[in-house]
Amino acid sequence: MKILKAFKNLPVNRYIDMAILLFLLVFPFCSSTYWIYVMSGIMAYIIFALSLDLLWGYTGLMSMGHSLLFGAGGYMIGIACSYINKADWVEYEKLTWFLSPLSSEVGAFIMALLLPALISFIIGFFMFSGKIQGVFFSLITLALSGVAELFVINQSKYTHGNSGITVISRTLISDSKADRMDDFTFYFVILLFLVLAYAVCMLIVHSRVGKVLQAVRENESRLTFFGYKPSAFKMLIYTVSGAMAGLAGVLYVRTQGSVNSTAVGINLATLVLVWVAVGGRGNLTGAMVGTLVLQIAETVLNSVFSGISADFAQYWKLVLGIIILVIVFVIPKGIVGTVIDIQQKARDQKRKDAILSKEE
Amino acid sequence: MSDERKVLLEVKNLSVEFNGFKAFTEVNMKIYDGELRVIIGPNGAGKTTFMDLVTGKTTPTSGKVIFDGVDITGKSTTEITRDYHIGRKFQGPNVFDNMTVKENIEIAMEGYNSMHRCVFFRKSKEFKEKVEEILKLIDLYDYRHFMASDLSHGQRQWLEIGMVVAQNPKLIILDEPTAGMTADETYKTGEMIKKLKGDHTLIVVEHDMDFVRQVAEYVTVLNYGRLLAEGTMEEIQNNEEVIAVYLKED
Repeated sequence: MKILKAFKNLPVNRYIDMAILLFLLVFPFCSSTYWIYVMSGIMAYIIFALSLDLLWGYTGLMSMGHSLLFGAGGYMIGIACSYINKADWVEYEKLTWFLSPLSSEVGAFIMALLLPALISFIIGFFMFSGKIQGVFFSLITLALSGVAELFVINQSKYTHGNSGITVISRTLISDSKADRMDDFTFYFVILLFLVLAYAVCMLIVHSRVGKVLQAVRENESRLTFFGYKPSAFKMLIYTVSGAMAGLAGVLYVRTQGSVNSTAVGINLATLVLVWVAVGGRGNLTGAMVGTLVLQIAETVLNSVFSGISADFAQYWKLVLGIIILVIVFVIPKGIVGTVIDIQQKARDQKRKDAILSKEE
Repeated sequence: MSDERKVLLEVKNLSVEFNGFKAFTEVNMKIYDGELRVIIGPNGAGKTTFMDLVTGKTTPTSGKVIFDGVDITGKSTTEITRDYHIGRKFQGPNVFDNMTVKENIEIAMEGYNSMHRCVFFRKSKEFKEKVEEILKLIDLYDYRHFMASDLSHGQRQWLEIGMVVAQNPKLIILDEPTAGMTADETYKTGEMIKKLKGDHTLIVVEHDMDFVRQVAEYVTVLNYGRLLAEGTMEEIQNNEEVIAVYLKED
């Protein structure tokens, strides 16, 4: 009974979470291999969007260059794979000292999580102890993502420049073709990571740390008068978010079977902002809904319109732009944010009535 | 008689200048443990500057702030709050808007503000009881699940008072706690503040003279960054200088 009551009192977005999970669980049993492959990529993107939601939705740090961390994870796998399998463009004999963990498969996986975390920790350290806030944080992260894109193209010795790196797909850690899973199995591996990532997010968000992060978003200067050091909390969440974005990068690269400079670029950084903004910030569900809806829409529309016009991909950006404008004007809180608002209002009204009737 | 009491906060020759503008000049003041001190003064008298100086938001040009026997001049806000237990309520209600009333109080609770305390935090029974007690003190228990942004102005003021109490500070500084309140709410706030006296030392900055009469025992008057007068409410009301600069409209 108690469980049933707690279930009834859940905020509406938790039902949506369960629905999404159920959908993702059933999805591969009734779709084609192509769609299983597409959905695997989308799930990796969802993990990426969740990591941004922790940072932007909950802490109020709008990172406009989050793809930097996504790509850093992806490229670790890429470089390791090209080195271990001796790709034909690889001319170097040994990896430089700081890339040396990449010579083992497990080392590469760990590096792919640690390097993004380290990058975000260092960026966070300088920005937050330097009291850089608001739009300046956004602009600096945006610039860093742009710089990273050029850096990756220029360092062609390791990154193969513009062409990118081909990676053994549908494995988790191994870099040998023999260990490839089929699409169906790999889908569930990614789903498992998605569930884990979601659980970690829920744990953080509902912990005291999560509440402090929300307080940072609401009123950072007030928090110092309660004896908190907001910069430490911001650094912590930026680091966690970085590692999670790195994980998303690994999984995405393993689905696609390749990694190139777009993975760190401004393009992807903007896309993930749009997913989170359309879905709704600061409730985790929004990040998932936004990514699912927009990515599925892109895939479907792409196949519909590719017969009419070959360069639909470019028009899609235009459509996307219009969608963002409409969403921002009509429902600034995003799809899920608006739904939660409606429920909150109804519950508030009920409570107000209860208080009034008590006073009478 | 006043010399026998323990001095909690003492400022010595405290001055601060902003680009040549003397906001605060050579002020000496003693606040005793457990007292409720009201500070009044016209606009620009240096009331907010005084609070900024004590809480470390502004660093004084010269002079000292001594709290509980320790020199805290020039220490950071975080340090002063955490290590020396000075709590401050701001002028406008300054709360965490998109969080519930209960969450607001929980964030403010004393002793859980360091990183590892937050990471290994478990809601104990005592913690819950303390939160409930404060919610009842500020009369917002029924409103605990509301977002702070959905409260009325007066309720938001109470919420912030509750948050400051949750810090369990030795010294509570309240900056115009009744600003924008109805007469009823103002009276209720006065009773709330009287309840806090004894457990805490309070400094209250106010404009509303009815409210000052309701709560005040000992009053300090500031004018143009200088100490104009100090005394009981009665003495102040009969002080010619004070009447000339401040109380004339009454």
